[in-house]
Amino acid sequence: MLNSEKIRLMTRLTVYEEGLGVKDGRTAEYFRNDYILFGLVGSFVAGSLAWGVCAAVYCGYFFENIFFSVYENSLGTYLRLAVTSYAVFILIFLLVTLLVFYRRSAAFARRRGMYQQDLEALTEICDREIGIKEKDAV
Amino acid sequence: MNSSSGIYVFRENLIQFYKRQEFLLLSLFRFAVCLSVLLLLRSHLGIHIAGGSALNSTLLNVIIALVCSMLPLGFSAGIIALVLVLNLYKLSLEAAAIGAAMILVCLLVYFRFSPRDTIILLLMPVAYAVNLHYLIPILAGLVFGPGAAVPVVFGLLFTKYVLLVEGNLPSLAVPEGAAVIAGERIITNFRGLVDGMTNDRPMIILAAILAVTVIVVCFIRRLAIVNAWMIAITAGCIIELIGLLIGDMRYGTGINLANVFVGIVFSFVLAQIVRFFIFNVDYLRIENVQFEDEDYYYYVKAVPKVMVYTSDLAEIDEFDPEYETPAEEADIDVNEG
Repeated sequence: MLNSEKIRLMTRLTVYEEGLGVKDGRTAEYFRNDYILFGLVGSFVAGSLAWGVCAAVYCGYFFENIFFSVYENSLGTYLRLAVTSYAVFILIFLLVTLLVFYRRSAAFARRRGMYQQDLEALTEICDREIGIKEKDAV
Repeated sequence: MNSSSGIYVFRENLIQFYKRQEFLLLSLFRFAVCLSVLLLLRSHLGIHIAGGSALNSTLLNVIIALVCSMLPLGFSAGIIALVLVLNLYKLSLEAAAIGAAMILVCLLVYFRFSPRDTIILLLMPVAYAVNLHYLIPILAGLVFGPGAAVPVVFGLLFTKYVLLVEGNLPSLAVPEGAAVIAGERIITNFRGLVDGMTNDRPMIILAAILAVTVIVVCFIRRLAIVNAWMIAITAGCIIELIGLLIGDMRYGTGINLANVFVGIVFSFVLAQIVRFFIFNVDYLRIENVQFEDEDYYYYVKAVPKVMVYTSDLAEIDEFDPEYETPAEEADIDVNEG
């Protein structure tokens, strides 16, 4: 006879394994702190590049002023602006990254926990079925 | 069968059809969106390229859209971004540089976190072309999170940038007989385009309103209140309308009120249709449940979905008043304990 509880569990497990489980599988390769750290390193590189692009556009826009500042050896204002804007941008960007990756890892842990629970319930049902079959065979 | 259940049957049939043909329908949708964006790029930029361009070929655009329909949306957006930069490059080096910078910033800052929101970025120019860009932030708020405000704003920026380049083409074009590209002209064009974007007050106000709409719609949609989705859609439309009116009165953005009104009304209707298909619940049958375990008390409000089983309905349609259930036939009292 079909066991509806077993079918329900197997369906839920399959849906997870073929959906979010694929992504979670990659996340599971890391420890939680490593996962967040890699996210921060990636964001640092991406953020620096993005800031660089914005800085290039700014330089293009104020090309003449910057050019004359270089010529007059008075780049101080621009350098201060560059360092301050970079620090503020990177700090905010890393903070957002930390928040996003922390929430993601928490959601991952919750999903994994539920998956584990379902898996244990399924194992229990299977063990029970095997026990009944063995008893019948005896 | 009354008319309201007829609608539910139609909805169920459509959902079942979608489930059966999901892969094909999604590919078709991606194809349609990508082709629309490519054709829009052609009509706004491609046709202005002196001496024509291979990218103007309809066949090539169809092939690119076909390829995009088979790829994940992130890759499709990448291909379309490449086409955009190529088109801009053929028109003006400065325009291409700014376009590439915008795409890079968008890619590095936002899509690193949420690549699935790419669809919003692709839908925005298409919706803008048909005056339905008011719909996108409402849908983004309903379906995605508050973070979807970023692709909505970027989508609007890209759209406006393409229109700005198209509008500035006479000044961007290399003058007849100019042998080399003069540095001064490049700087002037570059500044003109940056100024065009940063001083475009209507665009900035519209972007701010659309971003606020996404956040408000998302916030209301998540509230545990009756008709949350309906209220969220209505609130989104009202915010857009009032925001644009205030923007016009305060900053003189010069909006076409009739266009805005028609766009928002159509957006409201379309958002309701989307709501009907993805979130259709029966608030009259709300159930409040309370239970406890070792650690917590649970207060649960369960709102049932409107479910109609087409085969059951067919049976109800042919209802036989003389029909007796097996229990009735056997004269069994079903209420007996």
